[in-house]
Amino acid sequence: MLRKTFEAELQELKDEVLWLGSMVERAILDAVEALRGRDLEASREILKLDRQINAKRFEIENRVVTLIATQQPMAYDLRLLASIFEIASELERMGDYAKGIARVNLRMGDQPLLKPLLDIPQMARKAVQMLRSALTAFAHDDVQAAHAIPQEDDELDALYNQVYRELMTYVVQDPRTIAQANWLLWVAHNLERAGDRVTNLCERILYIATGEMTELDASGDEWTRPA
Amino acid sequence: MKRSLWRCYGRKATSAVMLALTGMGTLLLVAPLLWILVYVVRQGAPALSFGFLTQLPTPVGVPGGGIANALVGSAITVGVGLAAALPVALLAGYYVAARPNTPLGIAVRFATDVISGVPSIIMGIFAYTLIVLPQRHFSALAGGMALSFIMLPIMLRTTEEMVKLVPASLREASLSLGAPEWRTAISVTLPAAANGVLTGVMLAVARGAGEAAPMLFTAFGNPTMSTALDQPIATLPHTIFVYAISPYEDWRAKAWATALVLILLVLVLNVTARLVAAWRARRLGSVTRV
Amino acid sequence: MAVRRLNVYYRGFHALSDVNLEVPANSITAIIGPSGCGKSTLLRTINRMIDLVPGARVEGEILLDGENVLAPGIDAVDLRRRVGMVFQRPNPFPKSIFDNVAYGPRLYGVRGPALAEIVERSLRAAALWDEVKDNLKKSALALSGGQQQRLCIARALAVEPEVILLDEPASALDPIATLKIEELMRELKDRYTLIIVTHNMQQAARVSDYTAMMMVTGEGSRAGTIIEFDRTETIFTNPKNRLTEDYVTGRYG
Repeated sequence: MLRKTFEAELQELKDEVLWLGSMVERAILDAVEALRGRDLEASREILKLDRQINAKRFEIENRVVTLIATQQPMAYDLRLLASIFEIASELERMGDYAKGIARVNLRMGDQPLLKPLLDIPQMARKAVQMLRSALTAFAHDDVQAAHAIPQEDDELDALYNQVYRELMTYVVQDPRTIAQANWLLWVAHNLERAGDRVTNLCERILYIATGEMTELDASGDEWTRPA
Repeated sequence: MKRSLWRCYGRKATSAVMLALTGMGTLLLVAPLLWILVYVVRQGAPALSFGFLTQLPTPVGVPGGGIANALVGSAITVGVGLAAALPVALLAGYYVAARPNTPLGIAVRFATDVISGVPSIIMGIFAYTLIVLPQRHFSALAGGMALSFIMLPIMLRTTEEMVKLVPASLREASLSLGAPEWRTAISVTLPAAANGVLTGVMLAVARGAGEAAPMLFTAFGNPTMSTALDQPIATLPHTIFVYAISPYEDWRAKAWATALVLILLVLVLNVTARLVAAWRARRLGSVTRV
Repeated sequence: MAVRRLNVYYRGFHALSDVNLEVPANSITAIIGPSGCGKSTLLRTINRMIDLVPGARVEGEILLDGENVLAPGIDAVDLRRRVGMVFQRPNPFPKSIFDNVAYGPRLYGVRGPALAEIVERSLRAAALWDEVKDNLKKSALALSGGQQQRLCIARALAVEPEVILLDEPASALDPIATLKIEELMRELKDRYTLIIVTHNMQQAARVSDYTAMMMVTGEGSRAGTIIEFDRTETIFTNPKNRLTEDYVTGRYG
């Protein structure tokens, strides 16, 4: 096998991407957990974590550019590097969603929650589980998984609709809840968008493995209107 | 550390010793040459004058006289030899270089080796049986032919080597433009090899101009001025031979002077050839450097 | 131009095995592959320079304008006028710049003003005219390597070939001269069909429209063949053959 060094560098880069992914996982779970527990200190930690995520993303992009410039990657290697560029930016945006959730928590200040959060943590777990599956598929160029994971997005959409309906009933009963309902809807929306981003990741994984560029879910990029 | 330092000294010492040895070898080679040159100049210079080059020989005891007839005769015989041998040498030399492994190529190379090993006096006898006997008299033509046999292998061999030195890519470039092989040989390969071939020609001329033995049976010598190809003719080496073995002091002095003229002529020819080659190389860029 | 079921043998040694290739007209086709896979042999078969190799035997068809140039009736010398070649190292004749370009046309009897016109046109086409127009009598060997190679291209253009074969034309040149040659190739493809053999994959990727991947196939065999042919972007981003993938990513060997 030629190019052992290059090979090792590619593997290292993939590991970095997985590391970035796990940072995002933690950011999403912790952000929702902080909201559920109304823990403002924890939310401030999330903002710090987001800065680390951004730095990691730039570091990865930098390494990709260096490898392209110095190693003249072709075929699989080229698809991998070009896709990592995209994947890193997708992950960073997912990190921004976690940051958005943390901000919501901070803005809500000391007001108590309307009700104990159930569906929103459920959404977070689902989104993170999809992300984890996608990262595993990325690690193994798993074409089958890349096709299957976007299907799970429906579940996330269903949870979102449920959260929406529930918040609407609160608003209808007591218009004073409008502000917080809006905040919480924003949180749910962020989690729903995170799921769409996972679909984008799967498209990249598919491209890396097969060289085909296909849209896995045409509706995924659009604003999913509650039915 | 210390040991490697010693080894370094050892290497340098070996290098110095080897350099000294090669230098001594060079000196051993050049010294006799210089000695001969100096000796010939000292012996020949007193009898040398402008008149020596322009006058005809005089009988023993008559002062003056020169080697004009031998100068002209040498030029004619060498010219005849060159005219006869050069075209053959170029064509055969090219053939041998281009087709080294064909039966004819192998045969030509073998024949060349044999011919170049034959003593020049045998070449004289060969020309004698071939030309002098049927014609029943000695002639400049016979002398020239004898020289051509001697010059042929030298020129053939240099042509072969020089053609081989021409990069195959030049030949391919010509062929790839749709040139037939004969055209490629004439327009590209041989001109590219010309400088080297010229050196070979000069070597052959020097060799031919210095041959005395074959002239005994062919050109024979002639005390008068002759330019006819079918008549006996004087040549420089033959003149040296005749004068040198004579018992007369003034003839022997003339032998030295003639020898000096011969050496100078060969020297001038060689220098001229080098200059021409260098000029050609400067003008067109040399493919084969010699 | 098309190559059909081409087999080449050197004294019993099988050099090319069942090579099939369709070369689209007015395009640049790159032939890539590891050393010894027969790239140069394929090139030299197309203009029948291989005829000069003793003991070489060729089977199959090479179609140029629908005519099999390997057929016994076709004269290799005539064919080479239609298929020009540029070599690995610049190989100008040790003659003047003018005489180099004029060499080909002179073979076909062109003289006088017509000849001067062809020389100028060819030098212009090879993007060399402006650099040498005042020095046409100067020796070609005084030019730089890159200029020499463009002179060799001009020399090939002067006989108006249909196809130009380039055998690693930039391997002996510096990067700037290389890029000039590549730019020139792209300009020439409007009028000619170009086939380039190169060891430099980046060069193949930069310059060519189509790429043919050659490789020695089969156990114990030394015969090369084309294992993949496709548009260049496909070969370099998403090759179908595992061996091509290994080669273009640098993992072959």
